[in-house]
Amino acid sequence: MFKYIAKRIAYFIPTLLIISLITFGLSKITPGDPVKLALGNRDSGGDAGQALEKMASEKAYYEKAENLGFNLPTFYLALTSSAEPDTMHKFVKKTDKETLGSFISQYGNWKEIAAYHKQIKDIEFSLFEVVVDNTIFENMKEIKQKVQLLYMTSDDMDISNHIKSLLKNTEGHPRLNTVYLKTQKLEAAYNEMKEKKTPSKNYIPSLKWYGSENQYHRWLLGNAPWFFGEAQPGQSKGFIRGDFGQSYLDSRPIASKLKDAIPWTLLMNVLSLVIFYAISIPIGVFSATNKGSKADRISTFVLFLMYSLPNFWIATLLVTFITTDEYGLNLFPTYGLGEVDDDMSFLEIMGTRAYHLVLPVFCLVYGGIAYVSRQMRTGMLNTLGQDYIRTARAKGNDEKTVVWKHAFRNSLIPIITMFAGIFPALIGGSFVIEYIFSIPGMGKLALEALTARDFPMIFTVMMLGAVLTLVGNLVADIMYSVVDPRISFDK
Amino acid sequence: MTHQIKNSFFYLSLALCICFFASCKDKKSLDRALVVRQMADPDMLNPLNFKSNDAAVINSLIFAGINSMEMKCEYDLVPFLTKQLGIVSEVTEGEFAGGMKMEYEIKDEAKWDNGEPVTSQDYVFTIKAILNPKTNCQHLKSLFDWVGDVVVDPSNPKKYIVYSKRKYFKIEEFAGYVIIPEYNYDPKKIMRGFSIRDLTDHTKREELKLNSEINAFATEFNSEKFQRDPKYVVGLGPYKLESWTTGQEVVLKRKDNWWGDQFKDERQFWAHPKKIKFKVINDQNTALTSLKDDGLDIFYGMPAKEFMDLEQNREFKSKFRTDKKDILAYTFLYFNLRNKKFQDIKVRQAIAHAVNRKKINDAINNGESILTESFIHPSQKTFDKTLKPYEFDLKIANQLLDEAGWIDTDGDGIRDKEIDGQRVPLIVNFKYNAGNEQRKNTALIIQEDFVKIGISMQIEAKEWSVFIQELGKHQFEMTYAGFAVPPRIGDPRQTWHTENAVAGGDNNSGWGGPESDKLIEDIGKELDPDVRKQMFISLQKMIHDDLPVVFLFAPKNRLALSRRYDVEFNLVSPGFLLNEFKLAQ
Repeated sequence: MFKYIAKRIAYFIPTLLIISLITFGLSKITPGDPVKLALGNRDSGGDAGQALEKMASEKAYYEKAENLGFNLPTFYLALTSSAEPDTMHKFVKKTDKETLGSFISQYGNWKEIAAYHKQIKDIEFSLFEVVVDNTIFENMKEIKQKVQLLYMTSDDMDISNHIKSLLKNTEGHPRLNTVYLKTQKLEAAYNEMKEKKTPSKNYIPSLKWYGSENQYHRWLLGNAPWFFGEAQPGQSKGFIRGDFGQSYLDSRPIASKLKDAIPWTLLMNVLSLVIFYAISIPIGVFSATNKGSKADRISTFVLFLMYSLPNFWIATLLVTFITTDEYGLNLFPTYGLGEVDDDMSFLEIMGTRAYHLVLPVFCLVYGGIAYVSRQMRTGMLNTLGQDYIRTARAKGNDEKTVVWKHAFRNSLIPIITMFAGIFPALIGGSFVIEYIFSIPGMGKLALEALTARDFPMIFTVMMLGAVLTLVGNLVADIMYSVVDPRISFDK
Repeated sequence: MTHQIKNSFFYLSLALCICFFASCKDKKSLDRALVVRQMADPDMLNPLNFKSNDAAVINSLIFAGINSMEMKCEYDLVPFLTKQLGIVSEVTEGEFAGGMKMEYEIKDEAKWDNGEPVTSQDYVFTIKAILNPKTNCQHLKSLFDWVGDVVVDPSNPKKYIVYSKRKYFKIEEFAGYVIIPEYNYDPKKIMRGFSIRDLTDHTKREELKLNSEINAFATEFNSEKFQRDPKYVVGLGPYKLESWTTGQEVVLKRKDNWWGDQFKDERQFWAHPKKIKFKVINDQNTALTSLKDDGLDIFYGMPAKEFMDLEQNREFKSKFRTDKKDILAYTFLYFNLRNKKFQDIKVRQAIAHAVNRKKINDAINNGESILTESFIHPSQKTFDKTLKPYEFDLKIANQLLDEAGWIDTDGDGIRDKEIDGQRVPLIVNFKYNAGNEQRKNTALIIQEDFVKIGISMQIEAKEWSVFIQELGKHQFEMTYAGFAVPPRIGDPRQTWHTENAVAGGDNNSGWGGPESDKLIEDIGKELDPDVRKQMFISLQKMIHDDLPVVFLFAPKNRLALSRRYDVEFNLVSPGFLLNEFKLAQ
């Protein structure tokens, strides 16, 4: 048994690694710019245009990107084409990356591509020195715009048009002479890039090794010293050493945010589970033993009716109708977890919490009862048809002993299978219920992180979910052998 | 078997009863604290590093600055910490020639929570904390790039002069933004080792980034304790943080011996509620239910439909009074002027005449919003009252499109025109952020009228971050936006100057010319408010005539206030100041 468990735990490691890789990889291809988010350029989607006033300068952007480690290569190694340079990661801006990447796949000659890119930068900087007057105002406006567009496009037609427009707008203006000359250079660089193209390089694979200075490594293992010495400010200890990083949203440590959220979700879910099983198992057993009776048919009908009512709807109805005097039934609090003072006794605190959790827990529980009790009923019916049950009856055991002592344990297998899924659900939380009742749990935290692209939080929630799923499966496997001695993991 | 079930139900209902009775006093325990709803937790209560609006409301009660705002008409600055408003003058000679200086003297009565007087040193420290290259307040650093130096009067520690490197009309406001106590935020006095000149010097700044002292201060300053620990969140304002339960509530308590009480005749020093509770309620329906249940004392920004329902509800009206107030904001449609279709002014005029603002207002805002013609709120003095609205008139619109050369040549009901040798149909793409029903409904109404003048409008919903990204890259034709107007006139540079018409800038329509740019630059440098007003009026005319945007509404703020309280509403979002809530007689 012990050997089996050890082996299973050993299997966890590659599984978790793969999950971490997938999560990490997805975060890299999702639209949205985490650096901007961390700088506070975030908007709720409402009418809050002034938030954009906070747009930080280019410099602040690069500093923050460096701070977050976005200037590092993404992974230990990269399997790319030989056309791609090994310093691609130094372009932290997503738009730069995209445009350059597209050039590489078209032309495959990095040296010329880089020269072209540098030339655009050169023009952009030379624009700062131009003294604008009325004669060249319109031209400057056009030029600035075209330069920005050149950064973003890799389409041959567009680029030729933009360059043509740059030449047209700069030609013959003494003040724009330097820009004109530089644009000519840009055109030359662009033509060279097209002429000397080596797209075939794109078909030659190349494996690049970056070593441990990469974003994935820093996130998973950290860059702080392992055994000796203190971590410097800005260094991370890495995920597996319990340093989950800082939220982009409020720069609070993730661990601290989790510490606030987990207890509520855990409390709510443990309560729901206990109630859930306490109700559905007896109902399942009852309807199996009284199969086809009126009571069985009514309970089945009611349970399926409940099963089909979506819980966000029920939650909203409950909030509207039984938490205010408006409809005459002010039975429960509307939202939240209640207020607790220091001078309240333990019982009072418990009471307040429980009172506030009645509605949310009810909403979490009612729908699943049908499902679990059906499973229990089927399991029980299967077991009751077995030979040994007939034997038990033949021995003269009363019905109660037969059902609870002989049949019950054997019919638990499907319930245990479901139990495996419960572990991640325990901290997974239910976003809908937490949102409607304003309960600050994991569901709300995770959704907030997802919509805002708060990757450190998303990673952590995903990884916790993964670990708990694995643990849940393991526990379920062990419990199979506990309820049914015929299942054994020792050979 | 039935027995078992009965048992489990029995225990369950027993448990329910116990918790029901154990907490019966719960509803009353709200006692007399003022209870306000928040959509979400504040991000942090660090007065320099915070980013969210939810934090701004709470911080304004805990912290205070040099100046405060008069809550009427033009929202003029009034002195708060200092004896009088800063004496502003232009600097004509010396190091800061061409800039300006502001002289201040701190009130003798001003004291921190530990009883120590507020001194110029605290102000100097605040500026240094902002300028420290490693503190997490990048947005403030760029707002404070004008700082030249702060010179403390050697004979009077309460007097100081702030020097600005340039002339700019908003600087007086920025300079008085906030002041925080050095004893709390920098007990080791680390920042005294650096001068403001070092911190503003661009070459030295790079070296300072690697300085261990600078880093030590910043790490401490950015840490969690200054974000949310009641012991370490310390300001000059009338309230202190009593507790913060994540995701549930933030409680502020009135300070017992607040220095400002000596000035309680002046409105900016009012602080009536003894306790203020900010409750986090995410769901709108839950919040409204809680309001009806007397769980909240004030509700703002209510949707039109719910507001109408509540106004009919007699029981509710006995407990709450409802009101509709203007709010300093405006909404508008805008064009991407880089697109050839919109470069002809006649097309833009035609579209302006084809937008039925009255119908949209009726459908979405219950007809309550004011139609506006400018980026300045109609209630503000600088608003140009002579601007004539583009009336809804499809005939004029049709005529304008004909004149612009857009004619339906192929008979498919959509006008077309030859642009760069190609026949282009007049199909307009309208983007909005997915989930915003108001914008979607607006688009649908416009779409209907556009068909009548031969314009086909495609409506496209985009997820928020994608929407923002595409606007930034100028990948749009027409879209809808809403801006909040700052109570004190803002700088038009950010949204109307061509330097911001580049990718990622805020002048998304790409409007502007040499004349308008010059005017905007001059507005920035003009320190005389009356001259500035004339300049603003010219700018409004220019924008109105050139139509880079079609202005829609100045929206209404729908409020419900518990009859337990009295307060004077104002136009600045959220529409009231919490410290002014007074128990009703």
